[in-house]
Amino acid sequence: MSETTKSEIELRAQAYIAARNDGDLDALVEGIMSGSTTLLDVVKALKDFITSEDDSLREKGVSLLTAIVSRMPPAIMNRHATRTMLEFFLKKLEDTATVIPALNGILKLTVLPAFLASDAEATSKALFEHVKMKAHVQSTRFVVFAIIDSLMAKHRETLKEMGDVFVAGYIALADGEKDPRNLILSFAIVRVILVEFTIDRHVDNLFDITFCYFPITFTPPPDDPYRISAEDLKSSLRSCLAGTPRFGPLAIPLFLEKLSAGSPATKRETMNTMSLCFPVYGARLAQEIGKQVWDSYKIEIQQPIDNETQSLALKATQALVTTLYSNDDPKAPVTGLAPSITDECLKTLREPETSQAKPATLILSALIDTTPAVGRAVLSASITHLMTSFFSSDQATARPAILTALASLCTTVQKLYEQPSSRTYSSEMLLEAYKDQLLGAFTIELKNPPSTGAALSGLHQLVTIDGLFSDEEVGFVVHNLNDLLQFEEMDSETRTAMLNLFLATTKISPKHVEETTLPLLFALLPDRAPQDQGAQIKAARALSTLRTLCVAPVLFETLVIRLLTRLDLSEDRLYSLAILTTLESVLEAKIDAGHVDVPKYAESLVPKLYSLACPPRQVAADVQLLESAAAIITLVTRTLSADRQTALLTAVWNTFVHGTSSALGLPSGVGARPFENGASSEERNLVIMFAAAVIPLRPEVALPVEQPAAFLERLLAWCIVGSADEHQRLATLRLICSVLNKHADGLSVLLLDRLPICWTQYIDNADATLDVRRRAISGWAWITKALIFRNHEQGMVNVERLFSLFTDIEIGWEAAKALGTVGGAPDVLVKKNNAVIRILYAQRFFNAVLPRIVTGAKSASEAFQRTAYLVALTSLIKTMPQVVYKSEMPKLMPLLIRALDLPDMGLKLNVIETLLAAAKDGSTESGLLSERATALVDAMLKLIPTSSSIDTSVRLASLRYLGVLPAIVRYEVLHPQKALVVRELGKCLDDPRRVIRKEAVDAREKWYLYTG
Amino acid sequence: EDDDAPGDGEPIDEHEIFDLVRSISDPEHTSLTLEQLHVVNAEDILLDGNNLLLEFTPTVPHCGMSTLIGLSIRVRLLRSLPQRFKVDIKVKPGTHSSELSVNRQLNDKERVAAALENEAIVDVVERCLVT
Repeated sequence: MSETTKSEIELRAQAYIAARNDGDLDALVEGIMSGSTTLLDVVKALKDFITSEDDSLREKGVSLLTAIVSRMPPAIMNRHATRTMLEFFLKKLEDTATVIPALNGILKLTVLPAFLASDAEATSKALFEHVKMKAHVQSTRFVVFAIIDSLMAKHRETLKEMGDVFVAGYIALADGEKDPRNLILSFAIVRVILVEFTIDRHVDNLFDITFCYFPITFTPPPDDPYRISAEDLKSSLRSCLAGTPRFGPLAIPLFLEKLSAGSPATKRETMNTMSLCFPVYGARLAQEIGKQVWDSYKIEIQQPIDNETQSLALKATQALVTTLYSNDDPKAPVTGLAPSITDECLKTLREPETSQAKPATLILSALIDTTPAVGRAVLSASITHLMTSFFSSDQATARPAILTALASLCTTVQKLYEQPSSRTYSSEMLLEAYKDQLLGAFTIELKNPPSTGAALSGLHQLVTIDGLFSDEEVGFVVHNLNDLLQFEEMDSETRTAMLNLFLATTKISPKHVEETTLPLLFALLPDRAPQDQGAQIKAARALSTLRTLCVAPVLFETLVIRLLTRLDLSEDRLYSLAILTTLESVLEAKIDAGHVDVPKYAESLVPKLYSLACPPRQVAADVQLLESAAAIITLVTRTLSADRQTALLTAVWNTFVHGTSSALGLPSGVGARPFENGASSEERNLVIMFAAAVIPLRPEVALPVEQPAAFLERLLAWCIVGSADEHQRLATLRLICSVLNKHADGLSVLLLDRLPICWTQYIDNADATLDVRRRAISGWAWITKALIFRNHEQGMVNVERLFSLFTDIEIGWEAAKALGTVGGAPDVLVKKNNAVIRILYAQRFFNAVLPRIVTGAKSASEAFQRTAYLVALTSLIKTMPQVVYKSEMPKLMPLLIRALDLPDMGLKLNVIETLLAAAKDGSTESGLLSERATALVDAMLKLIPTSSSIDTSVRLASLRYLGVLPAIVRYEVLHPQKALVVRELGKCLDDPRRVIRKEAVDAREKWYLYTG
Repeated sequence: EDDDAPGDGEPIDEHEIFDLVRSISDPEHTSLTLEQLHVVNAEDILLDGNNLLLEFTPTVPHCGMSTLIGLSIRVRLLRSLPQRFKVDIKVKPGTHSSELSVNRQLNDKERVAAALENEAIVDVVERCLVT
């Protein structure tokens, strides 16, 4: 080593100690890494510091070495360097001034590959000898625990070989530790010692340094940077207490003490810990203390503080009993605690209607879910006992309560086999001896109203135990349920339970319901509509039952056939409607459940519905029936492949466009050409059925026409100047919208050439009649909607044109509402209909129109123009994403308040619902709200009076908003209006409508409680 | 469904009045409602035109909170029913040791008004009504 190098090292080291400049440290580290100097040189260079009389200089010297060691890559820290540095640091533990940096240095060394077993022993001995934990702050103690933790991870065998020296040393070290961060580490170390080390001579001491923390009542400080939760601490302490069976005799008496005298939280934690400890402490101890522990748990179950404590007590009982019998021969008779607890419970259950019956049942259920042998014994005793009570003559009134207890036992058994585990019913046959009795008891009582609920629940459990019931027995259950079905008086809960049981049987085998239940239900559905009120109610109920039951493919097939027959004959529109909506809702359920049998109904159900919808059938004249039938067709079409959609489309097209009625199998001679001149109103209605098959088509299915643009233009003209009425027009516009949305790229002729002509001809033409202009604007809106949803560039061009109409006093309002159609609810443009929807289209659209609307509403020159902008705003605000308008709220608020004066009820409602939504998520900034609160109150009060012509929905929303205001506006702001609001709300208390009264009562109470 | 107003198709009935009082919480057990404690029952509400009689059942015969419970019920009804109703609130006969005196307090206008001048009482009542 040259003199210059040495002095350079010294200079660098001195500079670092003086100024703590990282540059100097880096230079030293680099020097060692490049080999131009060694660690030893640095130590030598620091000699003056390390041996100085001055504490702080020594501390700085050692700190520098620790810093260097920390930065050394493991490859440089060879055996020699590691050993030298370890010896150095260990020596520095003796010096109180240097102990902290020395510990940090040691911690770094322990992870190095060159740190050997002998080093581990030397390190731990030195720690035990020289580090006085109580003298150090938390962070230093943490380093000590971290060193031992690291040694545990890398040199556990060496520590084990140290035997008592290590265990006793660690106990002394960890004794008295209080900081949660350190305890987390210490508990983990103790757990390893308990499980793996020889602890014979230290059981008591180890117990002392762990149990002293029980139960943990730590609450982490808010924003705790260490993120140690009470649960972390609790669970690591629990795993220590459950670390060795030798803790058992020491812990149990203390646990019992905590249980008898502790707070609810302590009780819960104690039982939680005990559950974990029993299996470790073992069967022998459980035997000794079982009775005593049970007496303690019993109180928590029978007189529970709360449900959570009760369920923890039940869990702990299970753990106790499971441990107690864990070593028993499964064939041997069960004796001891379990039978005695069972007897105790059954004694209580002699009076099954008392309040103690429920906890007794819970205990029995808990015991059943322990070991199979105990479960079998408890179940056998319980069922035998309950059955005897059930059949004894003096217990007739107690039957509902007995069945409730039986049903909960069945629930427990069902849950045993529910999870995929090694336990299966067929291997244990737990209920085999009792199933006939149970089936008997439950079915006998099924028709006795007080018992019905319990009987249904019991049967449901039994039916869902895989392998318990034979097909014949399921049939017997269904047979009894069929009798119950005739019952008129049944609350909705029981009814739901009954239907669920029916459904459970269909999952095992739909045969029984198909063969016995469905005929009963269909018998309640006459071919023609039911006449008297009783029959009508029965029919409605039967339909609602069928709606729930007939989801399974076999059952649905029968349902379709039977309902179509009735639909064919029905001349009553309500009956027809009920049948159609039943089919629709079952289909929806099937599609949601992913059933694959839906597409096949394109060949049966769909053509049948088409033929029923053609004049002169009754359905043809009724828009509501047609829309219901159309909804079914749309549902089925959605599930078809592109090929099958093409086939259906061709048939529909040939029928309705070309008049080939045979294409759909319609009766010949039927008039089914909605778009022909001179078509009757019924015939024109068929456009609803036509659109139903077109709207859900996949984009790859092309329209079977050479010039789709011309066809769509023809349809548009039919809407604007043809004979279509409002419903027919809407169906057609939906169809146009849907097709255009999917095929816009192939329709540029229409978009670029034809539509502008249409604009000048029908819309921007003061000579056209108002009706024509209105209808054309509505068509324009649907077309624009189709484009906006797919971010088509023509979309915004069309929107611009709508804005240009705002200056027209005649149709400005219409144009404004048309904007609502464009950006409003998606309607047919949903993914299910295979619509093309680009992400963030809504943001793009609203970001473009909102600023224009805000400016226009404020500063347009004429009042009617400002109103048009206001109408546009309120038509759009409900569907506008909040991110778009949140920052604009200060500008929007006055406009929204103004809009409450618009005569249109729907628009008023939009505004109030927007305000309500903003209040709910607290998005309105409170300053802004305070500023406008008075105006809002005044506006709302105008909308609530009883004798006004205001819609109920608007009045309800206004009342609701008045009720919300006290929660979001400071009292001082609205204090002057309190008396007025309370008085005005008082006037609504006598409203003829109950919903209004209820909302007024709630709002008024809020205002009464609204104080400074 | 909207504007075919039912006229007097939905008059205020016993159930609606029960709905108004069921959620009031007990002054002693604030986590429990009067319905849960069976202090108020739908059957104990009698409506005859504009005359309303509501009988409530104190949890124990010497319940010291009875007047306060009755007062809470009175305040709730005062705030929630149209003024045309004449409301009598009474302890269900035979369920309280000082039935008469409680009834007298609850149905005497002056005494009710005086009680509602007392801030401490109003405070307790309002806490029972926050539901």
